[in-house]
Amino acid sequence: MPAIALCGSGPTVGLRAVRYARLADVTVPAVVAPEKPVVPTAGDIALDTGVPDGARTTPEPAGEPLANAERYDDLAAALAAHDVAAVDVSIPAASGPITTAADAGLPVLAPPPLATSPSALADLADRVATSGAWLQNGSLHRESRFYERLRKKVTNGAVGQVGVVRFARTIPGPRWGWNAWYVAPGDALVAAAHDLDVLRWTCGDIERVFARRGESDAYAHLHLLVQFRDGARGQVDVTVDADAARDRSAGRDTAGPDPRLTAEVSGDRGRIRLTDDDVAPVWRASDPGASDPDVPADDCYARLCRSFAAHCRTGERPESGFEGAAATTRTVLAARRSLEEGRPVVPEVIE
Amino acid sequence: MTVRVGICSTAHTNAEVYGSLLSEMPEVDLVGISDENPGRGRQRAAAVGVPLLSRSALFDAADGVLVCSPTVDHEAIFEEAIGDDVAVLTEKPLATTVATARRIRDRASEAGLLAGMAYPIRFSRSMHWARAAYREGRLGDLVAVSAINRGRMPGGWFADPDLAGGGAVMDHTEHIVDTVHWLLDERVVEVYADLATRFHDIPVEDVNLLSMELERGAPFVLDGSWSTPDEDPFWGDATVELVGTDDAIAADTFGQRLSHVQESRARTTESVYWGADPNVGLLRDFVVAIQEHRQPRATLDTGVESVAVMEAAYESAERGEPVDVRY
Repeated sequence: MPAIALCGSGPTVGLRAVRYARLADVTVPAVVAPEKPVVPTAGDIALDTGVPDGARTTPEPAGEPLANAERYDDLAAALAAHDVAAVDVSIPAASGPITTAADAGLPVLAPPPLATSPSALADLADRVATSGAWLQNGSLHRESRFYERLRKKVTNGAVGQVGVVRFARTIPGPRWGWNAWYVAPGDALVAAAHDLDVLRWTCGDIERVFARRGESDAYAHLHLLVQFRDGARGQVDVTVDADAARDRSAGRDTAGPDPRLTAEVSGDRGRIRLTDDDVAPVWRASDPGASDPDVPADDCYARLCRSFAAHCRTGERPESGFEGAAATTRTVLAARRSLEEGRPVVPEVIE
Repeated sequence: MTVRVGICSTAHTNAEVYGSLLSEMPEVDLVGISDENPGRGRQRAAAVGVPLLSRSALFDAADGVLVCSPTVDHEAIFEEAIGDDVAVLTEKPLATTVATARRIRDRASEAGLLAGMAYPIRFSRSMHWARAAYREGRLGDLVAVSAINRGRMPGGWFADPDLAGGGAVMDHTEHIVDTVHWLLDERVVEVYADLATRFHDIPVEDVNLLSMELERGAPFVLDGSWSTPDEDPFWGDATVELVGTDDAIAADTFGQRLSHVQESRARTTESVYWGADPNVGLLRDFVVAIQEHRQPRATLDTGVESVAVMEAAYESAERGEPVDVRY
């Protein structure tokens, strides 16, 4: 029975707690977060099909998911107090907690970017290598059915040689829904990290990044132009409603913008394209968030939690581990350097 | 007053569209078509029921002409128009280089020629909504611009660097750059271009990704690639999104479309634009400009500015770094 410590902000920890509570053999004895986590109301329906063994299918698991978990300000204190088998870090650039977990020899789930500077990333790499601990790349897109299908089609040659990949989105998204992993981040570059990870996953290594941004108190915008090693090009375009992002990060609902996403891969033999018109098979007038038939028992978060728990049980290393997350982190750091210096930057040589 | 209009060359795919629209305008007498390719010209002329004329005969017969030739021929055609004092509405780009574009503009200006650029997106109602929202202050200060203008690779002279001056950059940068200049009253000052040839076996670029900076510092990104598949149900797209400090607005020139599934052809779906045609506004402005002896809305100055941005894009791609635009 894996005992998993959760480390993050209140809302991100709450999202994970609900999913882990649906895994019959997983416990969460400790939570490291600055405030008592807000556990979101799932509001889902009973599923009777398609949920793998080990996942509960009732609308709500009995009781409060974190009722038996103790809150800590510091991961080291949590690890000292509890017999923990693994650590789930749900906030980006958390090199401190990742290092603490790795030093303790524990498996870690963490999203890119893993660190805020090349030196911090290099230090993290040393610590992970020395400890022998493993890390699972916590990029939620890799658990999305859409991105998985997109990747399969592209890698199987469905569009031929890729010319331009374009992801454009407005965040934050709704409380729930297929795009729900953009609930929290207000930093456009951190949000773009998920897209960069999918780009790498789908089209291979990124050789060069150029970035620009515009910012204000209410809205911010970031765009990235990338070159892949095989010559394909990519564009990531993120617009942030900063007020809504701040509210969502604090666990408050706001009106915010409609979620918007265009994901497109154009090649010499075709194009794959998805927009928001393609993602909402359920419509409800009173609740724009109720547009996705996926439920917390089996959405992206649930699949990520389930995957991490399975790797913890078996000890089998995940397909995308530290190196995968680190490569995406280097791309994010290169984009940050490009923003600072106004020139294209090569992720591989960033120091 | 009926205005006598002709079409000078049908090398550009839009010549067919213009011919059809002009032939239906009651205030226009479509007097004829000239073409350096007589076979093509005869076909186009017959389609709208007008004679195929020599260029000099066309210029004698017309008050104004639409120039739809390969870009490299523009300067010579302008010289002839100046000689005959025939108004010109020219397809973009104005020229293959900034130096030539400036020379055309200066010669036309010295001669007092009535001349403008064929920038139909300025006449898109969606773009007018976006412009009004911005100018009335409803978006606040500008934070960023994000735009797309992709299309199918047109082939022919469009992909011949000697005739077109380049590829997707020359074909699919200008509409959006001009529209953004017009929407915001500020120009692009810096360009970083990521260009490549990935979709077609052609001697010019078909990937056209531009990251730009506007005069007041806002970023402006444009995908103007020839990336639309030939089998796509619609030819391409032209959208502009403005992000402000108070609100954001996205305008899609061709957003009003219907789908038509044709059972007679295996699994073929056509996407049909049914909104107000911006080309009608463009042509009407040209006709009214002739009637009122004023310049068309998009002057040759705007054409020079667009070519300056495109020239900067090629220089950026060559150097691998952002470059300043020299207007």
